[in-house]
Amino acid sequence: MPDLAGWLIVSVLMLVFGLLAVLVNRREDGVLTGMILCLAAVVLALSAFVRFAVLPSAGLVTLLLVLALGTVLMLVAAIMAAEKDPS
Amino acid sequence: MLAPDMTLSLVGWFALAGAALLGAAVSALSCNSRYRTSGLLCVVLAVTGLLMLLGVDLAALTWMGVGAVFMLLPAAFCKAIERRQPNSATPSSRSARPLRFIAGLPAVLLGALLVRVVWSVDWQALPPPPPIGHSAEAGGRLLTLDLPLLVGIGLLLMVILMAAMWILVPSRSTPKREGS
Repeated sequence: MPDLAGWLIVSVLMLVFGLLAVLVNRREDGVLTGMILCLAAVVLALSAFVRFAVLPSAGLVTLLLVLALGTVLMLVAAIMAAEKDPS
Repeated sequence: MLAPDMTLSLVGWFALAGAALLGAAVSALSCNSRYRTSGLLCVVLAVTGLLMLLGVDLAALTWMGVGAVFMLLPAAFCKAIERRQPNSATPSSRSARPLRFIAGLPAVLLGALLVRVVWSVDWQALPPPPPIGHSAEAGGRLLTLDLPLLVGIGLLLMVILMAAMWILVPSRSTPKREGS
């Protein structure tokens, strides 16, 4: 298994793809796709920080909070998009 | 020479990271909504595998559950977009592609900056990873000390899910035309 830098590089690349999804496909469901990719990047980076002892193990609680709040944000975005474009 | 289990985990890491990045690239840059949804599914599964390889099984289980919710939303949006735009590759959207990629340039620059920061930090100065996983310790504390917080988050998620279903699913009992 690679060191912390390898995990962080993967996380940064996923964050870049998430931002690209938001910026390139803004009119379609690119915002939701970008939010999923950015959340995956945050989950990977936080897990790597906890596993390599940069953050204490309490960082896992922060990770679960990020996941829950990310889900809430996704649902709010989906509801707002459905109200904006009812099809 | 590396041990066989180390080599296996390294190969698994490269395969999972490659699958995650490939799925992310497809879902971010593809114009076909089916390819985007398939790429997102690939990302969710590959990130779950990476988390399990990392040893944070509690986070992997949570991400798998959240990912199941995430996969429902893009699938619903995929159907809605296909219903609204049967031919997504119109000439106007093709002519707007260079502008789209120029708009994505700040994301690439930000990524290059972050990669430079990651490479410039001396990660070898950090202490070595502990032999036992943190998941059991954090899971035990979650089940004892942080249980009210988890119950609150679960209730909040249930309420928002029910509100989303109430808004997204059209009601059959309401009449379509009130004037006639």
